Amino acid sequence: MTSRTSTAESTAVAGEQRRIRIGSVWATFGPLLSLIILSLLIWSQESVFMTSGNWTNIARQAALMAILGVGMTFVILTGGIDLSVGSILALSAVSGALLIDRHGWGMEAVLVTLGVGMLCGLINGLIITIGRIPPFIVTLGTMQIFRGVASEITAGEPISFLTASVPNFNIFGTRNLGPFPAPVIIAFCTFVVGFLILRYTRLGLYVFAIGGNETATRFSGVQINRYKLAVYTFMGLCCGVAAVMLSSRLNSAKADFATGEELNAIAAVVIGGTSLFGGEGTLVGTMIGALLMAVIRNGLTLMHISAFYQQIVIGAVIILAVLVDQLRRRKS
Amino acid sequence: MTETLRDQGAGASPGGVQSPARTPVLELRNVSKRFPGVVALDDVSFDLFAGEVHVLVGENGAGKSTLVKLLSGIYQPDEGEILMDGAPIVLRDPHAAQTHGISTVHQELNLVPHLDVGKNIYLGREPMRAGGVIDWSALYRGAKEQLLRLNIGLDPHHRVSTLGVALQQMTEIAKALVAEARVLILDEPTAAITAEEAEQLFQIVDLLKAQGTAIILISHHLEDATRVGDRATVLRDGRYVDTVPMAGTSHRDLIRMMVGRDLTQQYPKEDIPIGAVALEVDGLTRHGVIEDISFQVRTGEIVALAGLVGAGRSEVARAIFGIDPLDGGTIRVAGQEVKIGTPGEAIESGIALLPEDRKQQGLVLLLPVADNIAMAAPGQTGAPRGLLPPMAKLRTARRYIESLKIKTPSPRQRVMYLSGGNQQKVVLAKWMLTHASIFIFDEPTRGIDVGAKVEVYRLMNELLRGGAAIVMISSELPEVLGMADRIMVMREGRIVAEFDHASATQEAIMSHAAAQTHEVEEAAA
Ligand SMILES: Nc1ncnc2c1ncn2[C@@H]1O[C@H](COP(=O)(O)OP(=O)(O)OP(=O)(O)O)[C@@H](O)[C@H]1O
Ligand SMILES: [Mg+2]
Repeated sequence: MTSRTSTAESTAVAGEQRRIRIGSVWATFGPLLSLIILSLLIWSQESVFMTSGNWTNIARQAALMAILGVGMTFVILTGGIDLSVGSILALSAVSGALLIDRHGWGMEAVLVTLGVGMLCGLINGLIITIGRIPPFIVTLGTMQIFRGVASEITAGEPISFLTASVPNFNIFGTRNLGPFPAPVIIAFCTFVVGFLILRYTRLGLYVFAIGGNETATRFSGVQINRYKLAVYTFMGLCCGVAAVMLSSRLNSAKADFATGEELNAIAAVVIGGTSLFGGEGTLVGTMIGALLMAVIRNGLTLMHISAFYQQIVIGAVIILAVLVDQLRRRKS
Repeated sequence: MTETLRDQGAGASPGGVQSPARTPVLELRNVSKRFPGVVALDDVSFDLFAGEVHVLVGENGAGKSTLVKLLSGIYQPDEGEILMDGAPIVLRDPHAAQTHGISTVHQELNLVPHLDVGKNIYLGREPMRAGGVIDWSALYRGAKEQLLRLNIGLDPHHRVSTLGVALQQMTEIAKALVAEARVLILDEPTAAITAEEAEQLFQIVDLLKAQGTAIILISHHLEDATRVGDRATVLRDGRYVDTVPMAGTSHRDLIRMMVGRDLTQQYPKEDIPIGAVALEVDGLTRHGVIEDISFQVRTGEIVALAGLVGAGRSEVARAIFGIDPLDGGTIRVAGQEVKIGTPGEAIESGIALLPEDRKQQGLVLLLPVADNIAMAAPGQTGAPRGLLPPMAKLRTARRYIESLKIKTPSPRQRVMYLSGGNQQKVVLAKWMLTHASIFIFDEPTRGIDVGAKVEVYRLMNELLRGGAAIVMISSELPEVLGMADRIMVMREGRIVAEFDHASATQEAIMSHAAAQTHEVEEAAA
């Protein structure tokens, strides 16, 4: 049945294909392997590292990066970037907190926090699609704007003791569900939602398609702008989720929340093997990337290495991760 | 069988042409489309009926693809209107064109390289299950079926980026077929595939036509027009020339309308004295891709590598040019063994390669024509070493624009705005400028119009007269037979036969190119 031409080429293609498959396995296992080796290394220096208490700590630290990383993976897969996530997080956190503190709202305020996050994401998306301005520029601007709005409406003051008005407010940050801290559960759920979207829905497919070749995707009749809007709104939602978690954990909200957190999220995505050019990457990789960053911070702290050195190490790890990824790509 | 189908087709369309009572499915009325410095379409009208294949022919840059892009919602006309079933429509974007039932295979491939074949085929029309979930198994099953309809036994899980141009083209065609559109537009679908694959496509075109699909076909192979076309519309320099029924129109007539003059000789092979060995490869091997490739090319000689797509011809070129690493074998240039590990070293050894995929490998689309031409050999523009003043670039570019008849408003035009065929000419110019002694042409006339083809052959002759040697990879057998001094037939990574100019025939080449796999299949069956 098979035509002659295709048998010839199919065999030629098969070898290439095998090479690529091995490559993509390495793409997720590479970071995982570094995670394991690094953990063993730290363990050999500091035995406290391997206690369940410490790992709970690490997971809690990783949760924030992971939640933002889910949305950021979507954005970066489309070939975009979002620098405003830290600011969105702060703005949505203080919005909810203000309603609780000054207007006597209850748990419903959480929905407002999520809503404000989505709205900010939507605004980013609208400017990017309608204005046809590169995401880097747009979010560089809104990063300032959202942070400014957050500072303005709180007059730069922290809003504290939220549990005084809403006693249950801390459930998203400090309670445990079985052995798992709430932030870890929330991060895991965000990951599962993201994973299912990427794997099973049109949005998920188009995220890869747009990043791989935007023109081809548009020529295929896909209404690209809609999907980009959805992606940035989803990113905003992730910020809202992270805002709820963070303000719940700290029992307060402040306009300078999560400053610089966008860079951690981007780093988690990149360490996880997602290409900054878009079109290629995995959510699992991002999760590992987030864990890896948390493990490094935790390990260095346990070993009493100063925060300044931690910065240097993290920076080096980011470059190293991408370098390894480049070498892998060049081979396949 | 072909005959009866063609008769049916020819019978159906004049009816459409003659009875004004039938409304065309699609009509362009007095449309114009201008770009900065170029009038791509000037007051052109065009109509298309259900159940006909309307062929669009014209030289490179005549405006064919522009017309297609108006119909697929990529450009909007500056003047004139588009009618569907007699009512004016506005095609705001590609999505709008698709909702009107217009499906297009564009001249430039439009696939997402990181995605697999199945996902590409269904992009934008994925089969869905309840709850907004993509039905992956239906998608891959459907993709496999579409490919088999085209007689392609390709696993739809393959990533597009690993496929050669021909299989990518077939993927693109399968993608257009999935839409089951009322209007199917094929812009040079056969440029990158072999005659056999084209025939497969045409049988499907026949089938769709019988089902009432209206089809627009663009091709520089006039045989394609004869094979499936019912009517042909000729464009020249953005202007409408004429619409004629294919029955009773000869290639000569078409060419005269396209070019505006008679074309005397299609393959201007000259008697050029053959000299010393310029390039000798011995036992070139890259495991799993090419095995034990040995041949010589002498100055003044054209050696063609023929064979089916996937036979490893381009891979030989890539190996010689230092793109892919070799597992074994030697390369000698003018008797001296050379080590070539990078394209730069190949160029230093006097080798030039015109790659088969001009957009990916041959051009920097964002840069102007002049920069692209000067890129590989800035020293040859006459500029002092290390410098490249704009004047030198432009002067050189103008020379080639004139000699190759590249249609561009200026040497400063970005290459991305040139028509497909003219982009190919820019690649040609770029490599001619290197003044290499050995030229490897991979599908040199792909997408080039009949008149320009002759120009390319003349240029080859000129190179030969100047003492160059040429290796030509071509899937167009008439071109191979017409221009090559010797022909190597490749199959599954090996050279399996050799012919000289006098003894080669189309049948002999094809039987060698295809034989082995045939036997394998029979054994397997
Ligand atoms: N986006 C654009 N910007 C500027 N000029 C353009 C653009 N698109 C096409 N052109 C010009 O319009 C003319 C017609 O181009 P078109 O692609 O329609 O030609 P074609 O008939 O399809 O040629 P070919 O046979 O080479 O594919 C050419 O001169 C081309 O350079
Ligand atoms: Mg064209």
